Amino acid sequence: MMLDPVPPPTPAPVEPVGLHVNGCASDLCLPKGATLLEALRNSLGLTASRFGCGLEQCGACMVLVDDQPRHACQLLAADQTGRIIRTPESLAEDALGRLLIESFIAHQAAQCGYCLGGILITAYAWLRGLKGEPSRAEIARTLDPHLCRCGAHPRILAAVAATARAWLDRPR
Amino acid sequence: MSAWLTRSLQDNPRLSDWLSLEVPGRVMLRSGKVELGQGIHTALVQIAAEELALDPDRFDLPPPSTRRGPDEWLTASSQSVESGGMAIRVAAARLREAALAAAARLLNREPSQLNLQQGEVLLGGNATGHDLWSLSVCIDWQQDLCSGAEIKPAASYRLVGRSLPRRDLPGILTGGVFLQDLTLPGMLHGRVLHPPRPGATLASVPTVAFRKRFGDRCRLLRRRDFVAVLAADETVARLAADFLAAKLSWRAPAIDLPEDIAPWLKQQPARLQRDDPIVASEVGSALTATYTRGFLLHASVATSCAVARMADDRLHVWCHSQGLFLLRAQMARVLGLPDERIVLEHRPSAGCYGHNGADDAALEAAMLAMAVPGRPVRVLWSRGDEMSAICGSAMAIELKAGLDGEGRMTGWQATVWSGTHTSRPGAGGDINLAAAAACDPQFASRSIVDVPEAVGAGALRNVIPLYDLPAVAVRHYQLTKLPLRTSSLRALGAHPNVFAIECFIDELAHAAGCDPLDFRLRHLTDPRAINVLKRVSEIAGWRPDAETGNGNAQGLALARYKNRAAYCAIVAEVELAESVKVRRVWCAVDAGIVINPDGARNQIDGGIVQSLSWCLKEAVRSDKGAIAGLDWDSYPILRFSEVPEIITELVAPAGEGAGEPMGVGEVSQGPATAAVCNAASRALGTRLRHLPLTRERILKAL
Repeated sequence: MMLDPVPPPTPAPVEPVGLHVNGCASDLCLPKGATLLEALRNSLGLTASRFGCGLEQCGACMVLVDDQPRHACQLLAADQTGRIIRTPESLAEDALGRLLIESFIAHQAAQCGYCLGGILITAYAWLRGLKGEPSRAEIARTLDPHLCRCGAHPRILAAVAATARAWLDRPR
Repeated sequence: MSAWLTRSLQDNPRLSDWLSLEVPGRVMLRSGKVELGQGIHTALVQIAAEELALDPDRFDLPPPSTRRGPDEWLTASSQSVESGGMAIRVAAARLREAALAAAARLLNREPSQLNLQQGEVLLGGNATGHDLWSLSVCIDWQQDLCSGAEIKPAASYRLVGRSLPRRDLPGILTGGVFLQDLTLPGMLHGRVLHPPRPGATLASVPTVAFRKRFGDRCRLLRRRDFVAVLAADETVARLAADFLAAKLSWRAPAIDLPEDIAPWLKQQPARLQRDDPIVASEVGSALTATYTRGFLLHASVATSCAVARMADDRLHVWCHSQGLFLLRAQMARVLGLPDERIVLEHRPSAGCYGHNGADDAALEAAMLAMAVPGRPVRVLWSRGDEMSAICGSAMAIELKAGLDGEGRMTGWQATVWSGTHTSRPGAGGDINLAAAAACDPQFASRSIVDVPEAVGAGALRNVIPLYDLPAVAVRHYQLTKLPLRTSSLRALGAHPNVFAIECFIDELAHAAGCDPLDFRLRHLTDPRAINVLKRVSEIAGWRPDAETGNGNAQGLALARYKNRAAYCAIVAEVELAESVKVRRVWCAVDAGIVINPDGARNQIDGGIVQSLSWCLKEAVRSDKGAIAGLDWDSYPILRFSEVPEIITELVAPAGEGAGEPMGVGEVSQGPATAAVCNAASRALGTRLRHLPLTRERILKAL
């Protein structure tokens, strides 16, 4: 049983879009209507931001736009020109991001890990503004926009709490 | 059958099925068990590394593929360590034996004088110049493993029993490891327009409007009730699918799932599948209660995906199926290709928790790829597709048991109404792939069968209580015409059955005027069950004299998964106002020898969290004749703020079978839900019997 063969579809017309992602300026050619998530994944190969729902409900696609966590799945790429975008791939570039990643590994805070890119972004943005040691409930509230189906929550909360302690105690 | 002669080993009996030495210094380990986020590949490497006394970092374990196997049937039913791991243990031990025997011949020594360390053959602690790789040519790689091997004694383990970190986690944290991330040159993007629910047929497709809007940039492919779009760019494919979805018209039977699902389930067309005779007097003047669970979604955080390419008459599909060979056999039937022209290769997706859309997506990608030979095609499902494809069956369980004058149970009768817990490809001889049936009615599923009891059962998984009972009878109504497609969801019938049994035990304890812990212990003789139950009550500080009905309470539950695998006892502490808040969960598990304790705890705790989500929140609901669960707002799951502290202890195994490992991926779901329901019932002072324990249900009970 087969579908009738079709000629391959032709490439769609594209428009130039300038994006500033993870410290680099890129000039992309994107079809009209491309989301920021599609641009990051398909044009820039940055796949740690993941598609989960396309509805801003699960948090798997969270990125930083001008330092604020935003769902990349519904933002239009063309509207992001002039903004500073950071994806989970950039976290290893600074001290807090490295602490966070090391803490997730130390706590083995994952099962499938599909949700983690987005969670790292939200945790990172929040930890940057941290004033004092947070309670478990505060961390949980911060991560509530994110869904995890494997039930790795207790470990993720512990990993973020440990990062918070290490970040507050860092030599300054 | 010897415990080590597992199905995985019997089906793949040659040494070369499991191990090879292709690159000097490295060992290639093969497994048919796929990584679903359960950390199985880390544990399997530990088992092999232990027997070969070789650093785990020197093992490569490629993603399973049909190209060379092994064919381990399914990654399911918590069998990956029990069956697959034990096959690898035998294979690795045999490789050690074979290498030492070969070295002994070359050195004119006895094998017992030699040992293997980090791949090198040592004599009296000194190097001999021989190693695994130099000896490879002397090893009979075709040797049959079914006669067993000399396994290392547990007391000598250095790697098994240690919490080694997951091999795949660093890659996951920095991206690029998932099937969804796979990009091939010239890859096209497909979207399939799925019917809103089973039995729907296409009334009309706006081909002219579509062509006018998208021209050659997006192809529309249709055959009967199968419709898909194909574009060079994912954005265009997505927009085209959205455009079409809004305009397609389906004829679909209305679906109406009532809040009170027990009478509805009992009215569905059914086949009496099992009906044990019971002597009425054994049940005596009995208590009766009916428990229900609704239809549950797998609700993976990722949506199903596959990439396929048809080139040189060969089809290559990258997918996240749990059973590559089973899927290939059915795809071959549908596509009219011989098995050997199809390669299925696994890539991880997000956790699936059973039979979700992975297999369906694989066939869809293959069909689209065959329409554009030479070009790879990626199919990705929408959130709505993922939430409406397959679910775990709703179940109603009616329990009846008698008590004698001393407060002992005199007999037990369970009646179960359930849809099937397997409609995987090939089950019951059916293809069971949605796109095949949509294209051609001859491929529609006809037989409704459940998982056979010999392989753990589906609706009847854990239907038999663990307790000492003079008589137990089971009646099973297999529902044959449900309006939703049901298949394997983590733990299958064990979740609803353990929930029902363990809540009913609390009701019987109450009727007997007995503490729930004492009542359980009074009916138990299995020392391992007694052990986990006592241990969890200790760590939780179980109080037999705790008041009930004051809004705070602990609840208790116990199960042995499939009545033959790991033991799990759970205490949950809840606070109950208008809704149930789970404050803390304690858990004790006896899983025999544990390969990776941290990995096991991760699975157990994750199972508890998922179970709390099922227990407190989840059921597929209908609205105006349609399924009302197509996004995360209409099908909410547990969020971070609702996750309690969990204290899990792996208790040291003792007694019969203590030396064998038992899987833990599905051990905690049943007891967790039951413990929460028992705690909530005690806090409320009245019995709760229907899941989920929503605010509305609590208010009604108040």
